[in-house]
Amino acid sequence: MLKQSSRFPLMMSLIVGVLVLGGLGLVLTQAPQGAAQTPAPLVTYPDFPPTPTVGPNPTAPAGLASSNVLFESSFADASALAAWQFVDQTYVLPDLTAAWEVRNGRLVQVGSGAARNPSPNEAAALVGDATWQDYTIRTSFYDEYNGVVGLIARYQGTEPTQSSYYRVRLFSTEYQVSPKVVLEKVVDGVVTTLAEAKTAGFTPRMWHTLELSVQGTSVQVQLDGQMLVVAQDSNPLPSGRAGIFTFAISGIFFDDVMVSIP
Amino acid sequence: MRRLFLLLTLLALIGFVFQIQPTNGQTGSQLLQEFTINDSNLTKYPSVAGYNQTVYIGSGVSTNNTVSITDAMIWSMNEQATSVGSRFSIGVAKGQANFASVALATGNDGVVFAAWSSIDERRIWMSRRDPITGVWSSRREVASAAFPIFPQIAVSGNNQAFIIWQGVGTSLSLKIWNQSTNSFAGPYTTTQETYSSPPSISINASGQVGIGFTTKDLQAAVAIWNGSGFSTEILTGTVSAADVGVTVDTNGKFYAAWRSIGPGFYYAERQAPNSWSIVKFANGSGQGTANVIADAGGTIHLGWISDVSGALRGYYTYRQSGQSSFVTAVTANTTVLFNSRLAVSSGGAYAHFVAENFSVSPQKILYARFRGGTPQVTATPKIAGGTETIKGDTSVSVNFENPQGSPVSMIWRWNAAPTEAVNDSGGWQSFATTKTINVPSAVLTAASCTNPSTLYVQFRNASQVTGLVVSDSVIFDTDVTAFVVMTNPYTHDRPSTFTPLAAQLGDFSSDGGASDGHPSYTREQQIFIGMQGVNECSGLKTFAIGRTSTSFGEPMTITNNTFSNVQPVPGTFPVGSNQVWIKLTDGVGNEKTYSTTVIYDPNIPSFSGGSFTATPKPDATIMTTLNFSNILINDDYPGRHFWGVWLANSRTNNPTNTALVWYPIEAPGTTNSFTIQNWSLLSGLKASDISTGTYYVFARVLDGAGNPVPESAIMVATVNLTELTYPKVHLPIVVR
Repeated sequence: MLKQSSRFPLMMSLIVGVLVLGGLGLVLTQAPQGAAQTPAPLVTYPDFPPTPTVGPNPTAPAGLASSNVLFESSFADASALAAWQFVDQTYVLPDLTAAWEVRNGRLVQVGSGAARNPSPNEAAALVGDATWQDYTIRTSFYDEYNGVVGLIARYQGTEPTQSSYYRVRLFSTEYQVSPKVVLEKVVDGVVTTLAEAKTAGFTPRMWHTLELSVQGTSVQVQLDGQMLVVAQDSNPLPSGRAGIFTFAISGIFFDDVMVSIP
Repeated sequence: MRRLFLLLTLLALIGFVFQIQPTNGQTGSQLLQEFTINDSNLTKYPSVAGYNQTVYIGSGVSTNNTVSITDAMIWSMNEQATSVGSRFSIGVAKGQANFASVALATGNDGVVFAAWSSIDERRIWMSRRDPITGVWSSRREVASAAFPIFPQIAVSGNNQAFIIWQGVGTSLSLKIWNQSTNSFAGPYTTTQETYSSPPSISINASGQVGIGFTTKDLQAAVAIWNGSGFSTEILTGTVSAADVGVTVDTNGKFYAAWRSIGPGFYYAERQAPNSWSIVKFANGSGQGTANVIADAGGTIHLGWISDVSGALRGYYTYRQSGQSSFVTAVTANTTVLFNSRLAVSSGGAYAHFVAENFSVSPQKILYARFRGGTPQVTATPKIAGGTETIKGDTSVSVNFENPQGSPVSMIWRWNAAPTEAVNDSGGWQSFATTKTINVPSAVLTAASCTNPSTLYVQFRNASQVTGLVVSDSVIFDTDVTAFVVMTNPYTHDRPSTFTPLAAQLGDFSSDGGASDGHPSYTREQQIFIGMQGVNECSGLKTFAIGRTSTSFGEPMTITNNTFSNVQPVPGTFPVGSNQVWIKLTDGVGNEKTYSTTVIYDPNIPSFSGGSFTATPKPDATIMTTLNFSNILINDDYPGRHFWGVWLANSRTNNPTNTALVWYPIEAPGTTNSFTIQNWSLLSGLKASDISTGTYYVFARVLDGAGNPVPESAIMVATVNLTELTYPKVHLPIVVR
């Protein structure tokens, strides 16, 4: 009995002490924010499922990696941009050109202009030189919401709206368009469809690899190692630079771009 | 120790109590509608405007699915519509949609202005939709410039249109179109060059104008119009920003919102010239204009596009006047949106959000409607306190319950929605929670129990924001409509069902008279009253009996819309003709009087002579023909001085037997000799009395009130039947 009665005040004091400290702590953390604190935004967003985490890039196929490489970039830092020429394939205002950045070791399309506004303009990033003939350009890409990805081969010209090249465009499953795969030949800015496929499109918010191969009169496209479309061009474009393509509305990034010859 | 314990407990409780967040009374928003406008291919920078309950959407739209052929298109719909109608072209906007955008604004009287760029023509155009005719004017040139793009427009209370646009490497320009002079003033320009991002413009009822834009070096700027030029205030510093939304409230306070080039959206209130309080209002990276609207009720509406969910979604929130926080944002379901604009309708009850929907190809306009923070300008009408059926008077008291949105005036019309041109209120009237409203005679004339009359009402607040049409219906009961009978209490015309009203029944059983007679006669100081409501909306409620049209006795209650019984008349009947009045009231207080003439005749007639015979029918011996001859009566009853005869059968010749069952029968014809056909010798007899042999038929002449001649004047006829035969009924043969 004596033991119990002496323990009671001690136990109660401990409990009350914890309550007091907790209460005071909460009061202090909820007090009006001082100048040194960053105030919370005025508006609370509704709850959403967590944004998918961007996983690691797909590993390049061994066969491709060991090929004769004309160009490759893993976009380790911003200096990687120096190898690229960024062009807008439609007319844009001077301060609304497509904007590209290297971010987290990836090439990111970030919209247009310094304000990074979205633009439906076709944007391309070109690499290489006009003498490249038969080759495969391969890239990994991860699309958050852009919806469009593409590759370019045998690009020749200086005026984007009057240039010649092969281009494949793929649309995501969430993009309500058909067909989802279009292989085009552009001559002096005039587009001719070589092949198209009414597939489901690529799945956004996951990594894919896209390849465009030009071998003589043959033009082939593979997605994640699977052949998408094949076309024969009896009057092929002779040679030219390689490139990647998307819309300048941001929400897509590229990695491990490689141009190789058989 | 115990005191320390209590003290610490108190402190702990205080600590937790401070965690309770104050409630702010805002109920939160809600996505109400969302759809993509199908015929809006290749839209860029769509716009939206609201006036009362109508929403207008504008955009440059490709007419052939290429980027180079574009028209300035308008859509309109009701603010609660679930779809939008087809587009309407208000003019050519040549060039790719990026540079052929359409801006919309509405004026106080419902006028709609559109301004758009036509980049291939290097022009800014304008069109005006007349609020009366609904016709868009042909396009009118606002400006010609090297590369005029991103027009925006606001309309002042006197229908001046403030049209702004940008160029490439130039400052922002303003022109003002004056409706009264039909001419432009300006252009006026800002000193800062602009970045190629759409600006915004806002004007309040006092004509204060603010323009939000992005400077060339990516600063959020607000240019405030001073009547002859701009005073531009830069809202940001070292952090780059773009896509500035601006609004000015009814008190002249400016608000702005923008997005940071890095993550975050910002909101600012102007405290004084060049003094703005700035707070971050939302996380996430954004695209396009951060829209801000201060409606006439002081609610701040924000609409923007953010990638905070992992996809570019449109968001909306509001903060009501006097509240300290915005409600939790709500979002449309469609993702990959760009370049939004926001408008409100019904004074802020609904927020309308448009954006470029890039989840479809080519991109189209995404429209989303959210429940706005400002209550609608409305109230709930309750005619006569919500009563279903009321008296059809020339005016009615109407309560307007639960007023919202601070209505100050109201307009109404019976049986159709009011307009300013056609109404029953004589235009807009001051709002009151109880109002006496006239009921036109045409409404009362058309009213019936099955055709309720409906009062349609609209309310308007001090800012001239008009709410939805609301209504309440009522059945106007304009009259007592009943079938009424007032007659001889002994007539056989009375209904067989009597209303139980024993206490008020007259002596009816032992007066020695017949139970029938002429309807207008009575031998008692009583009258039979029968009444039945016919298409009576509110039902019969009471009746009172009087001897004049103005004086009645105590009203008696009528149940189930029906009464049928004998009632004593008030006062004393003198012998002879008397007028009797009834006043009927229905459930809503309508009154109607009915009258009849009743002849009071308590005197028995005297018999002077006459006789009758009874002759059996050959084919049915029990049926006889009674031939009365030269019946002579002395009575006040007009004509032959008698109404009919009282007949009884017997197997014995005892006409005064009290067990006889007497049947009154009206005498046919008008002369003193008449024939009654098909008198059954079995009437009133017991089964044990029916056999062959002698039958006695007694007849006693009756006057109109049912008074019989004395027993001494009973006539008798004898029939001897050797065979009883009965009438036959021949049914048709059923052929199968």
